[in-house]
Amino acid sequence: MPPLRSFLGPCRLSGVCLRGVCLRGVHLRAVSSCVVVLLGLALLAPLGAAQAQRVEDTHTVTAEVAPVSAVSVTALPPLVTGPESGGAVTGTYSVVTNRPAAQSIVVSVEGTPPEGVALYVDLEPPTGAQKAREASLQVLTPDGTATPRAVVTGIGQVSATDLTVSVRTEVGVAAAPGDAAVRLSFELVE
Amino acid sequence: MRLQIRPNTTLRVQGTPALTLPAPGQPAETPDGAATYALTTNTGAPKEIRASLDEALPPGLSLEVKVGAPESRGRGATSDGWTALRPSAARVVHDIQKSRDSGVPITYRAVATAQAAPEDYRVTVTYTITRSN
Repeated sequence: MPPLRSFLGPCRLSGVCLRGVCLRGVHLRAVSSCVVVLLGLALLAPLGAAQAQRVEDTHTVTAEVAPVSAVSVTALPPLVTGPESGGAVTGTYSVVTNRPAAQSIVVSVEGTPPEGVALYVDLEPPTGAQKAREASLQVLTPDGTATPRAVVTGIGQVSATDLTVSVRTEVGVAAAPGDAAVRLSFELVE
Repeated sequence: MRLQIRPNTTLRVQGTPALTLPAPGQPAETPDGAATYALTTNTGAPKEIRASLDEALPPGLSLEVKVGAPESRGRGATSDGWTALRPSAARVVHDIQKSRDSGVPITYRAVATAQAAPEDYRVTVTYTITRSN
């Protein structure tokens, strides 16, 4: 049994056992009352704390970002040209990709190109990317050989519009007069 | 007989909100009923609900929430409308007094730029109801 003095501090707070410090029985009862009061205070304390406590709950939200890689070219205007004159047209293109890996725009000629026509392509690179060469790249030779070319490289996560695309032609005498269509493909590849 | 009515406030969010972002710059919104909450509070003091993220969103991804206002006695609770979610708590509903309501809508809206890599992101949104300052 600890000395009564050690309980006097807390007991005074409760106002229960300021008296009866002489008899052992009274002493015990006083100590019991103190314990009860202190226990009661201890039980009430969390209640008060709970009232002051903030109430909260959580949500887990999932957001799926779909992979996107696309190049879109506006229709290029028709080009009127002839032997020894050549010519060039310009248009615009847009590119969007959220893939972290570096990509390139590859330009190629699809289908059967007209004979005697050479084509050169030049693209303005989006921010952070580079031209494969300063000069425009040849994608079609007069003998009809089509060679896909990576015209812009190092394309990172970007969304850019109104970038310039230029197509230059050189027409030889082998090219038959009349209308001819050349189908160009622009592809974003890793 | 002595009756003691204790002050009590409970907030429970429900649902599994999921968003699919089709392309950079195109926002997506959770459908109706995807997320709701229930609120019970018998204390009259004006309270507000705040929302926060457990961590910062990845670059290029932004997330907003619109939390409906619960039925509330007194002058009536008010939603703060679309609110950007960040690690710091932002108020989403205010002027809540005594209330017991459930199925109150929570709508999420997200948008990604090209800087957000294609993958599934999981974020934890914590809702806290506190006494208004």
